[in-house]
Amino acid sequence: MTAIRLLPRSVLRWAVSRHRRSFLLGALVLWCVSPTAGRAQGFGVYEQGTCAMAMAGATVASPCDDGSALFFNPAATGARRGLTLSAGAAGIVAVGRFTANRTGAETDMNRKLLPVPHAYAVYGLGDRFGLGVGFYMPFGLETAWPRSSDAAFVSYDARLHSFYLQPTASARLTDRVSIGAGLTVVFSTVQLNQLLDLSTQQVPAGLGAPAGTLMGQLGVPFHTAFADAHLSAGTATGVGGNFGVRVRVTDRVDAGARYLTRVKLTYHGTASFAPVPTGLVLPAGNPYGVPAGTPMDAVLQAAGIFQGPLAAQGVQTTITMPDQLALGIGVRPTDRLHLEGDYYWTHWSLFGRLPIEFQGGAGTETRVEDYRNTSGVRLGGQLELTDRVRARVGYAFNQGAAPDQSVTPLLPEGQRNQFAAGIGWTPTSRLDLAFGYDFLLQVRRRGRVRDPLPGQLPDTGLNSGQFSFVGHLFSATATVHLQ
Amino acid sequence: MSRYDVRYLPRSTALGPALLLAAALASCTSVLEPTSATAGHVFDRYVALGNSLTAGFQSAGINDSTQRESYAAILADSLGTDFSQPLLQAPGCPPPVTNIFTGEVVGGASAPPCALRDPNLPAVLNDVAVPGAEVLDPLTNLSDSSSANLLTTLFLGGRTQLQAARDADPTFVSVWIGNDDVLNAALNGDTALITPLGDFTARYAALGDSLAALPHLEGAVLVGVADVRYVPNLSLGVAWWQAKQQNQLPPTLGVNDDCGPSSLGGVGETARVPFAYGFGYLMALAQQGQSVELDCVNDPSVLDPAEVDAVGRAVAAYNGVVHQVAKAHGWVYVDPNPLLYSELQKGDVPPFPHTSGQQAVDEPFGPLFSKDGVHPSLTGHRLVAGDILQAILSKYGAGQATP
Repeated sequence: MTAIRLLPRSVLRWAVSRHRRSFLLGALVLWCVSPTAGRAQGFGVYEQGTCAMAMAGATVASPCDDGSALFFNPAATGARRGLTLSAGAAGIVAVGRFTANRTGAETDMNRKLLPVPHAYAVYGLGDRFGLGVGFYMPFGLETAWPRSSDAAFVSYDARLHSFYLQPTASARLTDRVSIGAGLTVVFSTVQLNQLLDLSTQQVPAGLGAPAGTLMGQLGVPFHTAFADAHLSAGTATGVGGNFGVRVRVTDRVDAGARYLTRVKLTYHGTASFAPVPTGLVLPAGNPYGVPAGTPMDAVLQAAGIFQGPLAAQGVQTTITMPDQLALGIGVRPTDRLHLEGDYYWTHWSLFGRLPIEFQGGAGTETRVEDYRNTSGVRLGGQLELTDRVRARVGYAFNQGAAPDQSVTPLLPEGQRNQFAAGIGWTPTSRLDLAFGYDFLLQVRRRGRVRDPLPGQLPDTGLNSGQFSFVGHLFSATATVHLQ
Repeated sequence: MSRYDVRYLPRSTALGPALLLAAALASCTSVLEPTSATAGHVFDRYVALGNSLTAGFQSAGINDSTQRESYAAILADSLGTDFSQPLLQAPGCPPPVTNIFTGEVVGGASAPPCALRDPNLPAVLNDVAVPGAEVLDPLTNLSDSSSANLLTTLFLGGRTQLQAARDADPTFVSVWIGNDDVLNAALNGDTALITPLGDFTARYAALGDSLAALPHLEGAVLVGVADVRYVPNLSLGVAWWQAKQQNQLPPTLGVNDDCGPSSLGGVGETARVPFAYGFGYLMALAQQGQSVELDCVNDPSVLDPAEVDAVGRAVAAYNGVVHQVAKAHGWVYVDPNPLLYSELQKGDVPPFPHTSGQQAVDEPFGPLFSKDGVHPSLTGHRLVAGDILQAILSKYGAGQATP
């Protein structure tokens, strides 16, 4: 039998460096993926205005009259004369579940209400120019899974908040053509909590085991938590643009296009670690050479991993958010009915390989996501029931950006259908109130609750169950029009 | 709203629901359902506890190939249920021998003594058996009486077999343990190594109670202790005596007449000579020119008739306990010994190992046993799996099994 010596401190220090990197890599998936996921997939879709949400966001050709044109099509900013002030919020309730293929065990996401505010101020200068500034959160994400679940080894509490501030100007070039442009200033923060799996950590050669041996090869069971990792990142900022054009084709047909530029964001994060009892007690003959009855935790503690190696470590990465193109056509078959269909294309393939630079001398790691470009279709309609009441409905379909090997609890993303409805009420000539509901139904999809081993690429062979996900989105907006 | 508007609206709303329904149906398409065993839902999550037999030890070694030939793996395959094992990389830990007489092993002379686990760990283990485990070991790894060894940690990582089984949340378990409680006595010719019946009874009962407490357990099979007196590693004293008579042994290796047949006053038809003693020790000395003699009555390493009887009585008593525990919990009991005795009758288990020709390399202990003469070969495992399969399907089977 092989006699494998007790791991020396230097080795565990090295191994812990791997822990840190694995953890930070996981965190950076959130950084890299979720904001953009919110734009075309993800949780934070279409909550930039209640009117638009109720029509599934199909408002590129004919944006709502509540200031949300700043986001959906800047060319329509200030289409109404005078000052328009608008504020509201959406509440998102995500209902997710992971069903393990092997045992059939179901793990439900922790349910929480995610508020997503929005506010706009636009001013129409005469009938040719418009100015405005908007504040919205296109990328709000919070996912939480039970800490006792396998999902916790990817993430048990992840939070991403993105705030967009967009000053915008528009101009009507002709009676039929308008253009607009906005500067998007992005502020983003992120927090991630995750358990670390001892079994996937490497130990080097020289211990009686071949080089590259993992702790799991010495018998540490799969998903043995030994540390609770917490990461929080300060505010990352980036600047981009949002450009739109709108054409009044006929009196009853509008066409619009919007192009949202890619945005470069640089995140700086710090990770901290707290020990988690493994519950493992080593029997006689163990490869660590310690007496029977020795807890694994004692082996780890003796190596001093939580004093030095697991001290806070900085990490940095620069992410380029994908660009997005939206095209729409709106028709008004009658004076009271408006219908629109939009097409969305998002440049997701920018997220193929993500290099992560560690500031503690650990070098650079590359995370493989291999996202695909996606297309989406949005259909919406509004019917004026009376002069003061409007009914809205919408349907949207999005392709999934994540390939089959990249579906995880951090973002169990996939093809989505959204069914939206809402109502607009104008109690006075200066006040509009809007209420909306959006039901998000994601196609159930296989995914994984484990990461690939060091040096390996993600693989569908790691998928061990099925993610299901639905979302309930409630929204309300108040808009005031001042001459 | 104008009349035109009223007429237009139904057309639009007629298309809408159809579109939404199509999308909703697409969304509800399941891409994956929890696995279920083809032989019935009771086998959906099968966990095997035990010792080297269940772990897949063969030819004095174990690796991913021998593990996959375990009767438990064969059984799972027949039941159509998933079965994850703590696979050991080639050449093994330790590597199996390729020639029992020369000691050559898989991987050759440069093979490491232990190649450790495959790095791609399964999420749960269905095979939680550990070579060397006695009836105490599934309950605790930390007792002074525990048989814990390197493989205990490599397979279970500090858990007991029961803890690892709980982690797999089994619907069905098999237990084949207790052989090592008496085997070590047989292989060492020392009946003091037999686990006392009282201890065996208490431990096996505790094991049964612990298994019965598993939250989703729907069925179990308890396999009795094999009659280790008849493993070919223990060759008959009379076979040695006959070999000597036929000048098949070195001149310096004598065989006392007490190893002869009873008709000549010997006990050789009952006494058993462990391979490690007969070939590994006496033969080696004799081949070095040292005069040695095999004695079937006075040699402490040989199982004399009284010791053989003690081993047999222990096996019978143990199996009474196993049967009783199975009965108490309403589980299936399988006695492996009728199968063993049947194969003995057929002559497929040689009383003396094949020592020459290719047979000495390939099947020194016959087709049913691996090259260590204790653990079954793939053929032997298949026979055992067939026996167990038949027994459990008669009680639990509700679907399609593949014998």
